[in-house]
Amino acid sequence: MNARTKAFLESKFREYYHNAVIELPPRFRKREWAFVLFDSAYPKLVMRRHKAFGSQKELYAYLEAVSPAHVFYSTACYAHPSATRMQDKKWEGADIIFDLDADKLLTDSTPQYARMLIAVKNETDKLLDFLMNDFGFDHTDFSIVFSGGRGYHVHLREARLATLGSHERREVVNYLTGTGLEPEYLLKRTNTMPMTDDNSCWEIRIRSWIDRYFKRLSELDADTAIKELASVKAIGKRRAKEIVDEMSQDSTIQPLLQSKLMPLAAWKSLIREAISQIKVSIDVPVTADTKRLIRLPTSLHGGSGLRVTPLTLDEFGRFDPLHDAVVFSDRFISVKILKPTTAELKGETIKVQQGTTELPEHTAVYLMARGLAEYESR
Amino acid sequence: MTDARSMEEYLALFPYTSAAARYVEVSTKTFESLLSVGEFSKRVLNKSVERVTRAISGDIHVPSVGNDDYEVEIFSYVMARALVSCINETLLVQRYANAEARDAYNNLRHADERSQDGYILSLLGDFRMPASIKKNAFQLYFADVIKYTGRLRGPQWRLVNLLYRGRVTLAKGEIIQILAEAVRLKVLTGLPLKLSGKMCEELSPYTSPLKKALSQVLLRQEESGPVVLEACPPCIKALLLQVKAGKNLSHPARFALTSFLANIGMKEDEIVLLYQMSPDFDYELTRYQVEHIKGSSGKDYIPPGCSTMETYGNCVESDGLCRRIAHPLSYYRLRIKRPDAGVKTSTG
Repeated sequence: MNARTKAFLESKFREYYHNAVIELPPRFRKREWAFVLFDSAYPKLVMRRHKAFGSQKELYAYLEAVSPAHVFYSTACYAHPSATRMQDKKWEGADIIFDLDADKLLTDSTPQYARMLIAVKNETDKLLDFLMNDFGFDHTDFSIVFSGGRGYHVHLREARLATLGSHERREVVNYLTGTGLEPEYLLKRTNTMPMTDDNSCWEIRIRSWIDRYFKRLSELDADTAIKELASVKAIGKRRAKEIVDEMSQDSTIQPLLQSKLMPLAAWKSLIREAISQIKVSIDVPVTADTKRLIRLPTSLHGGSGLRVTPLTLDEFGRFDPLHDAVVFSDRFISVKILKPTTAELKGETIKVQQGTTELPEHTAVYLMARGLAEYESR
Repeated sequence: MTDARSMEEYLALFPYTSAAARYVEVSTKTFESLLSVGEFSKRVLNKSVERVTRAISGDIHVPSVGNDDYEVEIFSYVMARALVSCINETLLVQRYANAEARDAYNNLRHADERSQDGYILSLLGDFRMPASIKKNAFQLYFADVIKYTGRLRGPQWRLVNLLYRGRVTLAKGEIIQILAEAVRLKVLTGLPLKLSGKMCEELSPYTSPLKKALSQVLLRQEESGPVVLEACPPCIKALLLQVKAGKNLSHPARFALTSFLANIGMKEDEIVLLYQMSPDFDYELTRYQVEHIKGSSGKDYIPPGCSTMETYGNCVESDGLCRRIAHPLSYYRLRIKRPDAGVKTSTG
């Protein structure tokens, strides 16, 4: 990224920070703040850390003055947030953060940004269901944030959770990722497959997954159903046929569950499959960390120029990041494309080739921020 | 806890509660007065020495809850904390907290049926863990419970098997285990206390024999013997195999292996040599990492516990002994002591 591009991005970010409504996290005075500037080292991330602000005005003035590429604050609150050594800060508690990143979800060698964002949104949906249903949180207990990059952050600020240590936070992570769930234990506890005593929300989830699995099988034609069932570990073709026959005689699954048609090993592998489908893929160390730095919602992501967007549960449902997180105008400006690429902002798919071209400002900023274009003044 | 007597009995049995702290606070007896000559202070001091002694030896303490002994019991806890603080050894602090927790467990377990529920509810209240009782089971908020299940092994303690709409239901026996862990952490809080040199001086007739007993225990621990790789837990063995097969380990796995080997006494050079099979082996870098993890004092970094290993997917092929420990190092120590430990239960 050349100096002119940096200066241009910085000026656009300054414009944003001058006009935008920046929301500060609760107890912002107790948090450590950190910034990455459009300086000579950029895009190498040189973090300016251990800042603290005594007032909202001071923080706003700083943002406008330095127009940072990235803005972070600590999930933790400290007695002395600006102390440079962690042990001197005096930890007082921390928000719990769930980080859902598309990096973890798709292994495709050329993942398209738009597709990644849809996958990660679905994963976030799963997380929210876990938080509300299993943990019993109200939607007002957390805030959902589009990270401006490849995913979502969910901030949980329930007072009773603030002082949980890293270990306890890992127990929460393990719950979401289904780590430690053992089919053997689940089956032993209930003695037979049906797992009817509803001890835990995970049990209910697994059971209803299995219910749906057999319901779907029963709706298939017999041959397809047998083939699919036979693909489950420990169910042979003959056994699969017996089960499918049994299912066709009785539309409810209950007798099947109680019969000995399904061998134990088959239940185990079905349960394993259920767990792998139900669990949430989140970034484990982020949630376990009690001193993480997290992006400021309502700031701009220097790697995309998109707005780090806080969302209510309702807004999240309707949210399209490639539309709703775009803050810059569609006035055309001139850029030099370094690498052929595609951008899909504001519902418009723009394919560009190497060389100088005119693009809407939002797409130009996006490509410059990603290091795919340089600024060209006329 | 209907009358004053049963209240005092509760405080004597559980002297680390906030209720007991308030009792001590409003009492006319001061810490200084307990050091002066007198029948009461003599009994308190003897009792507190007993408390610390049983922590060193691992014996079980039988509370003498007779008519006028309540107050001695309560103050002996205060004094025992002072003794532990003056001796100021990490091992003793840990052992002392363990001993108090063990007593709490036994006292709750063996309390008569009429007082048991009262004790449990009072302790839950004292530790700010609001609970409701349903059919002899206790329902608690999940966050209050996971604070204390970290060291407990077995699937029945994992949140994945417990959580139901924000709450966790535990049987009476289980709640007693949780409370014992809460006691351990409560006792640990603030220890060692910052006491003046003068005060510790005055206590030295009591701390000297305790120090001597403790140093004998420490001495026994030092003689840990040579490194026995066969005694390593399956997770560490699996990592060793991967390294020897020339696979690159993830950062958490590498840290786990290195810190584990350093802690069981493997020499730096030997650890570095282990990694030479890695495809990205860099002698200087590996040496630096190992030195950093091993620390100048030799044991700066404690290897990750079982739950951390599990979170990062490094807990593999766990066996019967694994179910009884919370830390790979405990596995190693047990195996060293009894090479067949846990073998019989591996099918269970």
